[in-house]
Amino acid sequence: MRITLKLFAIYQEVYQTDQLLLDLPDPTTAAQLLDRCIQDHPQLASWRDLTKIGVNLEMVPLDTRLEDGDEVVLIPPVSGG
Amino acid sequence: MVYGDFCRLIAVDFLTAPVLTTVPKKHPGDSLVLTIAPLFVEEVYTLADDGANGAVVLMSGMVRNRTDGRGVISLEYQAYAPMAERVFCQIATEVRLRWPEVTRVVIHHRTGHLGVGEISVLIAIGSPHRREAFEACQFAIDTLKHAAPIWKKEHWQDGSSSWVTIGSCEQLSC
Repeated sequence: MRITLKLFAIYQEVYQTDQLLLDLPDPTTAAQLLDRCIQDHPQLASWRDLTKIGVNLEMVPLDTRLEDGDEVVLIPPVSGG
Repeated sequence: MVYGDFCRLIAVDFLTAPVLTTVPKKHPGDSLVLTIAPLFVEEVYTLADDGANGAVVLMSGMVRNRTDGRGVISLEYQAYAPMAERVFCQIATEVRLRWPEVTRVVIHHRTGHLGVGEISVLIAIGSPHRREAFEACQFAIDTLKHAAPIWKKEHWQDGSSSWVTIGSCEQLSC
């Protein structure tokens, strides 16, 4: 299955892009996707436990199973306002 | 409190903050905007104006020239726009559930590079009575800060920069 991964803040800086198209094995959970990102860029390891995940504009639990066509976003601690 | 404790508090706050589960429902009295353009107090106040109002409470947030004693030149705001706009709508919907007498909910947030003194966020609440307007405005800004996917990076006077999170704390080794 193919998902779109949106990247912001520290994730965007490390990946040097704001979006990735990823082909993932089915099933893959949100947590597994996050782990894959940390494996790709170990310097993100300290962010793992601080990151929330959104799927299709909603915050989801980490054990959420991703589906083909999902738009996933990694959300490190926010600081709006 | 030292800076390191402060950073950890922010991170714990972010992780434990309740997720907004309100189903967003657009109301004709709402103006919810995420924009790269400058924000204007007059415009936001006018949008909150209503014949039924006895009070408008307006909250303005702007770029401060110092953080923990360190000089700041500018802030760079990034947002996941479609989700941030959805969160704004959830906040407005939640305000109307908690304070049904509120007439107008206005939330305007800016993105991009902002210099010291520039306005980053404006929230205005119109209501027949001041109490509801104050409470709803406080709720709206607090919830926005915890729940909206918006990030800011501080550009320091010494030329370095850091995202406003526990990460900036780690870079400072505190």
